[in-house]
Amino acid sequence: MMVKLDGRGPISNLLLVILVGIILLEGAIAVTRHRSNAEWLRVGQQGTAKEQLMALQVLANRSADFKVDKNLVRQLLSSPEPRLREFAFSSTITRFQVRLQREHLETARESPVRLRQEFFLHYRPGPSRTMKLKDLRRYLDSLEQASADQAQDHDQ
Amino acid sequence: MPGTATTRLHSSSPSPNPLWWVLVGLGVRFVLLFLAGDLDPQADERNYVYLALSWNRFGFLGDTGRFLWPPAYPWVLAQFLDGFGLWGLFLVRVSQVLFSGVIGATTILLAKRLFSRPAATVTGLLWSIHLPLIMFSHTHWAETLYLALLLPSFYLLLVWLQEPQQTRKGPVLLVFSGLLFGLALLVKEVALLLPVLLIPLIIWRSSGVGDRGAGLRNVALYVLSIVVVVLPWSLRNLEVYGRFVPAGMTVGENAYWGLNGLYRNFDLATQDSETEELTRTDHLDRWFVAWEPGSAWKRAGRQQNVVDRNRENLRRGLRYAGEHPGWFLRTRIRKLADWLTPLSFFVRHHARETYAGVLASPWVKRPMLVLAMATTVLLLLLSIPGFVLSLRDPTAKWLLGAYVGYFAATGLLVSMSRFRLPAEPILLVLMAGFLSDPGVFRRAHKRTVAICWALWIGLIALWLIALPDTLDQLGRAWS
Repeated sequence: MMVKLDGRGPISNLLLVILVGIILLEGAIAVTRHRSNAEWLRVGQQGTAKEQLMALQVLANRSADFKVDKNLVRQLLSSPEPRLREFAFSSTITRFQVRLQREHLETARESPVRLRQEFFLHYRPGPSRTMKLKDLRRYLDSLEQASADQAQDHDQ
Repeated sequence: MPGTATTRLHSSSPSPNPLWWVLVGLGVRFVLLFLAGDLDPQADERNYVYLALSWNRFGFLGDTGRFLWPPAYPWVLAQFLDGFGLWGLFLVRVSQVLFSGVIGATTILLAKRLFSRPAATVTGLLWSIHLPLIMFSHTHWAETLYLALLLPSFYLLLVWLQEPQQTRKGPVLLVFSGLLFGLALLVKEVALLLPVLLIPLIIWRSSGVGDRGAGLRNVALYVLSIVVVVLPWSLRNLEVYGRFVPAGMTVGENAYWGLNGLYRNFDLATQDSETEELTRTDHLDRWFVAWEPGSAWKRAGRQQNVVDRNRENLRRGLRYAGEHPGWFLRTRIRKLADWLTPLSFFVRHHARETYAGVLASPWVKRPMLVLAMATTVLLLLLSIPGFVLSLRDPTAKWLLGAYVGYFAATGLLVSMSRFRLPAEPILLVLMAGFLSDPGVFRRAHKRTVAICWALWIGLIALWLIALPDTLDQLGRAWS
C-alpha cells in the first residue's frame, strides 16, 4: 500500500496501524510474562530476593482463586534477606498483617531492620496521620547505612 | 469560530505576550515554595511518599490497602527519593512548580483561543495570583503533575475539534491528545470515563469533513492512543490482582465515605480522624450532611485484595443509596455545595497550622486568606456568565461543559475543594472571558441572562448550605 503523507486518511491509517501494532506488542509481552500461581510459588521458593518479593506480593493478592501457601509466606519472611522481613509491614499484604507483624517484628529494639519495620508499620497508609520528616530522615539514614555495610561486607 | 490567525500569540499588537505571565506565576510560586519551607507530608501526600519508599525498597508499587493508585506519581517520587534522599522531596516540589508552568501556559493559550488576547492576559494574571492552585505546586499531592498532562491533552483536543478539516496536523493532534490523556490517567484515574462524553463530540465534528468513516477513524485514533499508554499498567494489574483495572481503583473507598451514613469533607480541619464525629449539630447544614453513624455500613473484610475490597465497598454503597433514596438526594446537594465551596486547601493548611515562619504570621497570612477566598468566590461567580454569555462557540461550549460537568459529577461521591482543582484552570479562562467582554450583558438575549441569574442564585444557595462550616474553617485559619 502506498502511503501518501499529505492526506488525512492515509496518515490516519498509518497512525492506526502503528497504534494497533503497539497494543498487540504490549499484549504479547504480557502473555509471555504471565505466570500461573504454581509458577509464582516456584519463583517464591527458588528465585532471587527481588523475585521472591514479587512472588510474595502476587500470591498475597491473588486471593480469589488461589489459597496462598501461608507456609511459604512465613518462610520468606523469616529469610536472612532484610527486605523480606520488612515486607510484612508494608500495606500490600494486609490480609496477613496482624499475624505477620507479631511474628516477624525484629526482637532487637536498636536493630536497623526493626527501625524500618516500625517505619512501614507506623506510616502504613491511612487518611489522617502526618509523616514526620525526622522519621523519614532516620529511615533513609538506616537504608544508607545498610547499603554501606553491605558494600563493606562485599569488599571483605 | 476562532481561526488559526487569531490563535497566534506573536501578533503585531504592541501589548506584551500573555505568555510572559507564566514567568510571573512561576516567580510567585518559587517565592511561596521557599516561604513554605519544609512541610511534613500529610494525608494522601504521605501515602504517596510511603508508596515511593516501599517501591524503592521492595522493587514494585504496592497499594495502600484501601486504594490502588496509578503508578506514575509514586514512580516520580521514588526516583527523586532514590537519587537524592530526603533532599529529593524538596526537588519534587521544585519540579511541581515547573510543571505548574505548563498549566499556566496551557490556560493562557486556552483563553487566547476561546476568547481574545486581552482575555489571555487576564487569565495569566489570575493564574499567577490564584493561591488555591498555587499551593499545590509546593506540596506532594499529585494534582500539579496531573493537570500538567491533562490540560495540554484537553487543549489539543479543542484545537482539533475547532479545525477538524485540517489535513496533516489533525490526526497527529488527536494522537498526542490521547497519549497525554493516557499519561494523565496514570497519575490519577478520575477522568477514566471522561472520553465517553468526548467521543460523541469527535464523531459530530468528523461528520462535516465529507469522508465516510472519518468519525470512526478519528474516535479510534483518540481511544487507541489512550489505550497504548494505559494498557501495560492494566495488564500488570491483571497479573498481580487477577482483575482487570485500567488505571486505578479508588471508587469503593470513596463509596464508603460518600454512600454511607457518614460525612467526610477533607476541607474541614475538624474532620481529621475516622472516629471523630461532626463537632456541631445545631446548624442548618446537618440535614444535608446526614451523619447517621448508626446506619453506616462497614468496609469489606480483609480476606480480599484491594481491588475486590473496592468492588465490594462500591456494591455496599450502591445498596445503601438504593435503600435511602431521600437521604441520597439531599446529601448530594451538600456534596455539590462542598465542590463549589469558597474554601480551598490553602485555607485548610492555615486552619491546621501547617505553615510556620513568615507564612504563618498574621500580617502575611490574613491578606493571603482574603486573596484566596476572594479569587475563589469571583472565579465561581464570574465563570458562570463566562460560560453562558461570553463563550459562543458551540463546540467549545460542549467540550468545556462536559469537562467541568464531569469533574463536578465525580464530586457527588466524595467532595472537597481539591476535587474541583482540574476544573479551576477552565473556570479561570471563563472568568477572564467574561471580564474582558464587559458589554456582554447588554448584548445578550434575555433568556440567557435569565439562565445566568438562575445559576447565580443556585450557587449562592449552595454557599448558604455550607456557610456555617465555611465560616468555622475560615475562623480557624484566621486566628
